[in-house]
Amino acid sequence: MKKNIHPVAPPKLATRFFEWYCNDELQESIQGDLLERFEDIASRKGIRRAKINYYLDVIRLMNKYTLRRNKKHHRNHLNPTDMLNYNFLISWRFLSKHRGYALINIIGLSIGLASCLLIFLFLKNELSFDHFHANSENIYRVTTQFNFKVGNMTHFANTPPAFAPGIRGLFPEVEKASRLRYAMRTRFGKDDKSFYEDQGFYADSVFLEIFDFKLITGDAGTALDEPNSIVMTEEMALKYFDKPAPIGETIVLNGDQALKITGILEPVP
Amino acid sequence: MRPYLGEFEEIVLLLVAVQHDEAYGFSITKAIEEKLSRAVTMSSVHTALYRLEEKGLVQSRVGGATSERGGRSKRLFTITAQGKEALLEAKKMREQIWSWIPKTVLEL
Repeated sequence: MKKNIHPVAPPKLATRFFEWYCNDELQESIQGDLLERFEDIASRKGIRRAKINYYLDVIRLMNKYTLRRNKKHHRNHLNPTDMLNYNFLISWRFLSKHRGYALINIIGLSIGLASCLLIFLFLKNELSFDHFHANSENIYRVTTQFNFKVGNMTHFANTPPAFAPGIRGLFPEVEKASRLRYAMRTRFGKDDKSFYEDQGFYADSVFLEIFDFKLITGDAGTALDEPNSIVMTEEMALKYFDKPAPIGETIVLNGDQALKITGILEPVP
Repeated sequence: MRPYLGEFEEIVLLLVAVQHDEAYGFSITKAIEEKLSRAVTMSSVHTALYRLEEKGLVQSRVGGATSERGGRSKRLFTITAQGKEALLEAKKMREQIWSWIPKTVLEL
């Protein structure tokens, strides 16, 4: 019998493409079907339609059932993750074989790790406070406790302005109390120089007695006694006055409030 | 879980049952086109068959080669017990829904 009894053959390119992607298991039977389909359409609708259809079928047949699955074995063994995979597999088998020991080990390790982290967090918190103040042991910050709902509580750093004078009258243990208010983005001006400063604070007169921020010039005990006094760093003084210690001169806050410079701070740690 | 049977899958599965032990990709495509007058590509029939096999509703074997189709053997599909159950289930569900339709709705 003659092998090629078909007067017209399906497009070779499509056939070759199909043979390239299709796995061996399904290849023969699908090719048979494709050929039958081709001949069927060719006899009814013409070769042109049959060829187009053949192409479409070949392309649409590319799916997870027909694609070659065993490519992994054809690949040369240079894949570095293979060994890793085996190691994971072996560890998993070992762990599931010795469940008890695995459980103890894992729980022990987790507890150890968790404790270490907690200790670290605690130490970090303890070390995060300024220690250069001589009285740092006796300095406390008072916070406001907000109870939103039952069991929902938070601390705010803000307290009412009258709180600091009040607490000193109520509790004799409190020797000194100072309020501190962050001055966000204030504008300082001196003659034609004007800058925004982001790191200023409003404070009570005893602030420099409680906290050991050293003054290069000026007396920490009295520098802030008068209202509208200001102490600043040398860096800031040079910025506005071109001299390191403009004691007694004035600087204008927010365009309308004259502040007297009473001290120059050492660089803040 | 019972595997979900899509509409097209159901038709293919039915035809596998109809062409008992003689069903293969091309024959089912042909049946859908001629008997059901529905345009279909053979690739979708093949894909449906393999999916049904994956779900365990049909099983396949390679039939003997014949002189037709270039001497290539066919992959013949037969319905499994699970497949029959799925078909009956689908039919039952349809009949159930049909019985719920009010009579007046179906009067033409």
